[in-house]
Amino acid sequence: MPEGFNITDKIEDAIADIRKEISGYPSLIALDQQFATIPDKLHEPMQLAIVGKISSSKSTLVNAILGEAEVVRTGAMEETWNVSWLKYGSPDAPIIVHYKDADRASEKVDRNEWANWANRHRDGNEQLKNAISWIEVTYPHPILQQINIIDTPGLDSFVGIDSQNTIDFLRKVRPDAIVMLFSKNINENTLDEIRNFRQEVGAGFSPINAIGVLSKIDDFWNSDSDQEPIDEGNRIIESLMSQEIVKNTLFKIYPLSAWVALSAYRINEDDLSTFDQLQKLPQEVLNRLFKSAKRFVTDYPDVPVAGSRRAELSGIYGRYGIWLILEHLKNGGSATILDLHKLLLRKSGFDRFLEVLQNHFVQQAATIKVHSLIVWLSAEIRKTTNDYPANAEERFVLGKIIRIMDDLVRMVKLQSNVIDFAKEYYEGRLDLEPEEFEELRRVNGEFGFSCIERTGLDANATPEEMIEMCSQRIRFWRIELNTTGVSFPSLARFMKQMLASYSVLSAEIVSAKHKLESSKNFLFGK
Amino acid sequence: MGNRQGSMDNWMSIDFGTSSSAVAIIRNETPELAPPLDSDAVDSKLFSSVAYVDKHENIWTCRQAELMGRQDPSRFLREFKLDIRDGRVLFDSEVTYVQLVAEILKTMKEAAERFLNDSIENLVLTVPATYYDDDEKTIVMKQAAGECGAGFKRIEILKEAQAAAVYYDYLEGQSGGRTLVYDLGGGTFDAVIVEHLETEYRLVGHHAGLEVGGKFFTEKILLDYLVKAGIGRRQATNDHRQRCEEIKRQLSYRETLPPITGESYTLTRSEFEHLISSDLDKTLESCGTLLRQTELQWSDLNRVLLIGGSCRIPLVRQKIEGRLHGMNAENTHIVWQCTENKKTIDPQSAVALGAAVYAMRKFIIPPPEPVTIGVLRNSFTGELYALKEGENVFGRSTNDADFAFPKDERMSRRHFSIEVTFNGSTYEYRLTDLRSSHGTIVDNMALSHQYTFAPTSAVLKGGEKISAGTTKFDFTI
Ligand SMILES: Nc1nc2c(ncn2[C@@H]2O[C@H](COP(=O)(O)OP(=O)(O)OP(=O)(O)O)[C@@H](O)[C@H]2O)c(=O)[nH]1
Ligand SMILES: Nc1ncnc2c1ncn2[C@@H]1O[C@H](COP(=O)(O)OP(=O)(O)OP(=O)(O)O)[C@@H](O)[C@H]1O
Ligand SMILES: [Mg+2]
Ligand SMILES: [Mg+2]
Repeated sequence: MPEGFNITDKIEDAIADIRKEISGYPSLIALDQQFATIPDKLHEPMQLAIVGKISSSKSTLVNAILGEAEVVRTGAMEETWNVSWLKYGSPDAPIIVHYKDADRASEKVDRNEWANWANRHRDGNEQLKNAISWIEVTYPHPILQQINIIDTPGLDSFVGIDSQNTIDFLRKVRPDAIVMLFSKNINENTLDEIRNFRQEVGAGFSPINAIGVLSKIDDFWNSDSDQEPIDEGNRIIESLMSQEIVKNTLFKIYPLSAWVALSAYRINEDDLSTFDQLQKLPQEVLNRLFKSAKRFVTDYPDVPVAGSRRAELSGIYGRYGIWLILEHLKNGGSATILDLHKLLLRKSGFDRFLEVLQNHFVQQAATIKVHSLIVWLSAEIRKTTNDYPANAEERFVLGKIIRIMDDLVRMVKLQSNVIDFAKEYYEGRLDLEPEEFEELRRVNGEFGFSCIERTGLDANATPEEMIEMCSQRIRFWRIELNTTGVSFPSLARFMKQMLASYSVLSAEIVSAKHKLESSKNFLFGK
Repeated sequence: MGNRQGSMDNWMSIDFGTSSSAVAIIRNETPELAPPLDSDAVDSKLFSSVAYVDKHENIWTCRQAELMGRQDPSRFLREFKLDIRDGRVLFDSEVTYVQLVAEILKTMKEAAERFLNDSIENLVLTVPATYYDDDEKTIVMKQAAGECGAGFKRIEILKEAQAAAVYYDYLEGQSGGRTLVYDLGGGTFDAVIVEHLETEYRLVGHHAGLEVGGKFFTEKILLDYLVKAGIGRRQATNDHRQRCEEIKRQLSYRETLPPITGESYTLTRSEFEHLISSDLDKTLESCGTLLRQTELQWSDLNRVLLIGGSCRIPLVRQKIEGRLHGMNAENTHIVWQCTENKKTIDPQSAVALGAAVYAMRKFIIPPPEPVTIGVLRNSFTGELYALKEGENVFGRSTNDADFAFPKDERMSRRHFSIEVTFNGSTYEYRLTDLRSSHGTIVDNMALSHQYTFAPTSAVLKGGEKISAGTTKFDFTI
């Protein structure tokens, strides 16, 4: 999001307008107070929650995003037993424990003490464990400056009692965005899970703020087959993504192995020399080793590297990671740490995921934040309309507010579509002329969010000229839709977006112009 | 009701499609497609789902709109079915979707009334399986059809796939079992499973909205054409597209195209099939997902019913045949254009015709047959049961009842009888409950042997509604 006037400012303006509308009505004070919290919330980092079933690789994924082995605990048991809220800060700062009981002060636990403290609480004292609402952990990764990452305990099933803690937390904190993890046995139940999740936590999740991950794809790998785990993952995902409920909930699902990705950050010189020893072995010997997990760690006379050393490596890279590295080396690939790092990130599917996390979540953090706030506010307003038998005048004001909010939602939605189009355009699936793509980005505020920047007119253009420009473009795109769009239906969706974007823009200019005139009147008289 | 079909009882149906719509009426208890008033060719029985809003906010519809839209594409609206909402259609006009759709429905109503030569008050409107009951689109469509819009008095909503299933039964007789409705239209593919029960057409599940369809197939030919002819995308004209559309349709009926003078581009059927093969695979995957979701196998389906204009492409059928074969579902048959009785199911009108049949069976009592003895009519299916003099037993048993309903599990083996006697001038009818487990209901009165004070028989005068088990009957004299 560029500097200068942006979507956050736009929302702040709208909120200020709305608050002015509400102010004369005592029965709407509660609502006004909700609105009052918005400006602060808008400037907080975005909250991104990682959710999924037990042992679905959530914590491993968080660590991989931060490129660090154990920022949050991982393991085969239910390791994450409390919501961990990761914020930007010193890696040595104490961990803060927040309790559910509002009266109970939060507690600071020294980092060095943390493992002990955590184990004590985890195993010893169910009651204490249940008393905790979340813990706050700081870490100095730049990504955390823009988004806070929330690691959650596994949802046993999305409705089970064990998951209640997570669900309560999500309801209360209302993260702005989520990454939803699925492991390999995706099936019809997965759809129910998504449905239940939306029901439990609220329907505020949509492709704007939710992406999916098919985790642990290294499990699909076996040394006899040429099939790449990513391809197998994509095959499963494609059929899932054609489901209405999935399409309506998730931006996309990415196949990845967080484990292999995490290992990409842990390659060291020692391991490199062991890989070099291994890659020199004849292919039959390697094939035998990779046949099973057991054989992989067994000592053999014709394998120079000890079984225990191999076990150590497989604990870090997984057999798939090691296989990838050896294949790469055998084919004469370069053996630098950086190249192997890139190889593992690519083959684990993690680089694509990270790119989307960057593009979709980090860069769009403001849009997403605004979207989630608006969805929440709209719901609050509707609740108010139901709760208070407001008088006709109040109902009129509420109706007006709802319309402002609906317009905002539509605008934010248009903005987020741009990411989709960009993806298709760059992947060569959307055949636009460069100027068309640029116009799409411009009118949706990617080069500056003020009305004049979105029209692309020069700085002295009058509001009338801007409105005229919009109606010309609307005319143009409607004609395009009804001519080129008929011959090339795959471009029609893009043309509809252009139409909608200019309509929104034009409406905004009209209302801004109106405001400008009334303030002129106020300052200088007619 | 019950009297001769007066104008108050006329029904029509509309299958409002993305690109074109079909309209049907009922004449002599037969559904018929009603063509647009201005249709001049035999094969243009469909209404184009388009509109044009002029500078004075007048709305022009269908074919007239097409003509105006060619002059001025800037106020022309097409393929808006999925954009319908409670709001305005154009940015610089006050016209709303309700008004726009109302005008289109009015055009259709007028054409149907002219075709039937009578006024029509009631409408069955079909909608995709994805719409909810209180869907914004459904609500807008209903408003547009209602008194303030096109002026229909009663409006019934039916899912497109259910209508198709009704039409199949109409042609083939009560068939039972499950139908996979495979609807491949202009821009979308919908797969829906419908279960044919004694009392309803139950929607088992759907997997809808895949963006695959005829217009994308034509686009693929067009792109191939442009590349081979060395024409840039920007230079493509509407003529080019229409030629490609024609090529596509031709290839549904022949393997190669006839040589055309002055035209070097040509395409064989197999080349075309190559272009669209992966798209069609997606539709089959969609069906596969639907089956998994509903925990059914291909072999659990009794038939796959092909509807939507793009099902005329032979590869569609071949692909499905292949899949059925691969899944050991040889007993599942494909219903495509011609059914066994050589009655035609036209893929672009089955939904509208089915919706008309639905109205006929559900809402219109047929004029009494010229019989002297009264008849019972199945309120749901419309099937008639002619009574004979003496005892007429109704029940679940095929051996012990004169009229058997083996699929109605709530009916007793011998449920009730109607005794018909002739008194010299008229017939008299007495209905007796035959100690059935759940009783027989005549209008609102329960006849039962279970309760001491309940009557066990009743004299019928005509016009009664009778229910036994889950089956309902109308008795007419
Ligand atoms: N094969 C494979 N195993 C993985 C992967 N990621 C994690 N695991 C293993 O799965 C188990 C759970 O990993 P975590 O990251 O702790 O999973 P989680 O979802 O945070 O688990 P809870 O917090 O306990 O719900 C551990 O034994 C990991 O070693 C992966 O990408 N591939
Ligand atoms: N003979 C044919 N061969 C191939 N395609 C055909 C043939 N006849 C019609 N079509 C195609 O059928 C499509 C129209 O089908 P249909 O009327 O079922 O669509 P629709 O209901 O308007 O669209 P949708 O189902 O997407 O809402 C057009 O794309 C047309 O090209
Ligand atoms: Mg965890
Ligand atoms: Mg259709």
